[in-house]
This record gives sequence, structure tokens and C-alpha cells, in this order.
Amino acid sequence: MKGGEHRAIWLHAALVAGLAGLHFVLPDYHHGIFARVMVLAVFAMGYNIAFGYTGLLSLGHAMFFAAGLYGAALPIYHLGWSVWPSLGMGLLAGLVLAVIVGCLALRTVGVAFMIVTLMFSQVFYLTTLYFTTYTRGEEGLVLPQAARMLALPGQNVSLANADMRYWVALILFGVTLAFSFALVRSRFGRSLVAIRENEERMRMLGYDVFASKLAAMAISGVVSAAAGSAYAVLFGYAGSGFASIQYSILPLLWVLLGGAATVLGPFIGTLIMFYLIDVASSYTTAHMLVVGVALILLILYFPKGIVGTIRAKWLRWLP
Amino acid sequence: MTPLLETRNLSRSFGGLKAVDSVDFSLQEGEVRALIGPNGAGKTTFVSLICGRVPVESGSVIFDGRDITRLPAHKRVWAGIAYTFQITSIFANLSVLENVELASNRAGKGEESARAVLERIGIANLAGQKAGDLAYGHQRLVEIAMGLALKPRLLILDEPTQGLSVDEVEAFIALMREIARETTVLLIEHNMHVVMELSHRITVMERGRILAEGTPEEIRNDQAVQRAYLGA
Repeated sequence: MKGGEHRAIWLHAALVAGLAGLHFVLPDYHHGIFARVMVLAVFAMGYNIAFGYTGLLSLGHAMFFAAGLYGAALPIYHLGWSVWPSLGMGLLAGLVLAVIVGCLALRTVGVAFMIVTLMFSQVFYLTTLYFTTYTRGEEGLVLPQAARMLALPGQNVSLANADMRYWVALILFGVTLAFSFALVRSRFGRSLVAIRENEERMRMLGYDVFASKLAAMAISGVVSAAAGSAYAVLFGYAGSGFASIQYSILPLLWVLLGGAATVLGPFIGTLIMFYLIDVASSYTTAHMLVVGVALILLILYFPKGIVGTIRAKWLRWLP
Repeated sequence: MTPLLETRNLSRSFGGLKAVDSVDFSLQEGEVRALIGPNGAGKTTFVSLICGRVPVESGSVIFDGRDITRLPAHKRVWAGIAYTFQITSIFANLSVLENVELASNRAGKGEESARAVLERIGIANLAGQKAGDLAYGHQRLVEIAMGLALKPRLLILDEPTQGLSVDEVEAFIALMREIARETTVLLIEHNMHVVMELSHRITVMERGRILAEGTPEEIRNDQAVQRAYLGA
């Protein structure tokens, strides 16, 4: 067990180091994709805390991502805020929304929970369209380069710069990966898995199941919002498309592909799905068909996802 | 002497069926009480009302002098009521130790306390094994270990010997005698041998009501009980 823990820490550190190394060798096009995938993988990791570890199948996580996105973009665009406080506002928006939605949606389970979260997310999406005056709806807000200066000690760096963007995305990714790793190894993380497996049993062991699930939702919402906020400042764009149902389904697919309830799965799933769509769309406009077929094959042959299958077959120590 | 557990006028119905019907019940600290009765008599519903798995419809539950009628289940566990499930519900993917740790962690005790409980129950040698791989009898013991790791004042066991072999039942009786020295026990049980061996007093339920209550000797000789339950 202890040996497995060391191996697991090294493996995750090696992934982050490998991504740092790729910065120097990737061609521009793929360099850009990796930066984007790392940010979206943070979203997937956030989703995985609710869905993978706690068993909360939410169909509304687009609202948490978009809460972070708009929470950061609106103050920058309309109020001229700088990047740091805007990021803070994005996280706060995600936290508040997740707690409110959690309090209401967690009164339901199973299919009802899916529908309630979907419904709240649609309300959020329609709200972004309703206030088109401020959000510019589908067209979205484009944040000017001058507003995307990140204040660091001694200097201001531009997040519009591709290199800087990659490093910021990598730091966010690394921090979230370490956080996920620590969370699922903690007593609290293990109690979440046990709640997923047998909620009634945990209640009769004296666990406040509702409070634990609400905490999981809040953490999941904040991590998703962190990805959304980072997306806004790194890529300088916030549109209501990110609040649409598509962005609730995508993290589910990324996590299923990579392996639910694995720490590395969300990144692997996001990366593969991103390239699958990228490659397929260069050959055909029916690229979603390719994605669909890939998912059917996945469910048929690797129901635990890629990392989940690797863990079940070979590397039992993977968290 | 105030009883450890008391119910007053406790009722619960499902649809038109009165599963538990105005039950007045009390249990002294240190007692081992068996709850018997034919299938559908309301035994499981009754203990579920006590431990909070099923909401109370009317009446009240008093534990250690405190009204816990509206307390959610997990807070009743904190107050000292532990329930072990009729259908074994341990975490099959976790090791035996990890299962018991889930209980002792919550109670703020951790690994050492979990190991001590396994030692006491006599399955310390199985600590590292995956719970799902154990023989059924051992799984039942893990279930009881999880209850004990909560350090309860009242341990409620729902048909603990169901599916055990004759030898395992004897071992269970010995174990319960040991546990009962420190913990009050309320036991739903169909095996009359276990009931007669262990209990200080017996409560007989039928159709949601208490039909009779007394020492094993009194219950054995009770005419109404014989008609309703023992089939004589």
C-alpha cells in the first residue's frame, strides 16, 4: 500500500513534468491544443469529484464552468477589473451556485437528480441569453489583450502570450491534480466513495450523508469554476455556448472515456476526445458520428474507461 | 431507574397497513432483549423507527432520557445507537480493516481502535483481506464489528444469525455474551435457541403490537404466544 502510494505520486509528478517538457517540443498547433486540454481537464477533474467519486450524475455542470467563465469575464469586460480579483470572483460565483443548486438538487437522487441539475443548468444558460445586453449571448464577450495582464511580483505578464498561457494552464492543472490526489486519499474522500457504494450503510455509521454530498458538490463546482475562470482569461472569450447542455455532457464523456473515479482519467479522456474530434472533423463534417462510435466501443469493451481498465487489470495502486 | 431506551405510543403505517401500532416499550441499560414474532409483525420497522431509518409517524422515542424522535439517523448514531443490517451490507471492495475503519474514523478513533475491535471479535487475522472475498459467516462478523467500532451504548442486531452454520451460531452466542457485558443489546432473531440462550427478556410482536413480554421462561409458557408464534 505504502509502496503504491510512492509510485502513484511519482507517476502523477511525471505527468506534470512531461507536460512541462512538451512545452519545448510541441509544434505551435498542438501546443495550443494542449493548453486548452489542460484547462478543460481541470473541468473534467471537478466533474469527476461529483460523478466519479461521489456517484452524483450531474447533467448540469456547464453552469459551474460558465459561472466561473462569466464570474471572471464580466467584471473584466464591464468594470475593468484586473485578472486576480476577477479569478476570485469566478471561483466565488461557482461556489455560491454549487451550494445553492446542491441544497435543492441533493434532495433528489438518480434520474431525478439528473433532471433537476439539467434544469438548473438550462435556466443558467437561458439567463445568459436573456441578459444579452451584458453577455452578448452566443456571440460572446471578447476580452481585450490589454485587460488580460496577470500581475506577478515584479512584472505584469500577458496571458494572450501562447507560452505564458501554457505555463498558467499547466500550473492550474498541476495544482488541481495534486488536490484531487490528496482529496481521494483523505478520510473525507474515502467516505465519499463509500457513500457512492452504500449510502444507507454510511448513514447508519453516523455519517451526515447530505452534508458530505453537498461538500462534494461545492468542491466540484469550485474546481469546475476555476477551469471556467481560467478559460476566460487565458483564451479571452466568454460565450453562452459554454453554458449550453453540450458543456454538461462533455465532461461526462471525458470522464467516462478516461475512467471515472481515477485521478488521471479526466486528463486522458479530455486529451483523447479532443484529438478524436479534431482529427475526425478534418476528414468529415459528421465528426460527432465518429465520437459516437468511439463511445459505443468504449462502453462495450472498456466500461471502466481507459485508466479504470488499466487499474483493474494491472496497476491496482492507481488512485 | 430510567430506562436506556423508551418508546411511547410509537406508530408507523405504510399505506393502510399499520406496521407499528402504538407501541410502548422500554429497555434497561445492560439488558439483552430479543424481539421475536412472525414475519410481517413489524419488528424491523420498529427498530428502524428507533434508529431513524424510517421517520416516526406519531409517538416518541426517548434514548437516555432525551427525546430523539425527530433526530436524523446519523445523529442517533452519535448519541450511541448502532444498527447492523439484516442483509449484510459491508463494502465488498474494501479490506476488512478499511470497512471497520469507516466506522471508527467517524467516531474519531482511527486504525488502532478498528484493529482492537477485530481482535475482540476474533477476526484480526482477516484484517487485510478483501471483505467481498470472505465466507458469509465472516462477512456477518465484519458487519457486527462495524457496529461495535461505533462504541455504541445500544447495539441493534437485525437477524444476525441468519444463514450461519450451527458452529457459527454457537460462536456468535459466545461473542454476544462477551459484548453484552458492556453494551445493551436489542436483537431481532428467529432462531429460538439463540433467543433462549442470550436474552434476559423477550418481547413478542404480532401485527404491529406487543403481544407479550417476559423472561424466556414466561414466554415459553405463554398461551397467546404459543398460539400466535410457536404454532402449538
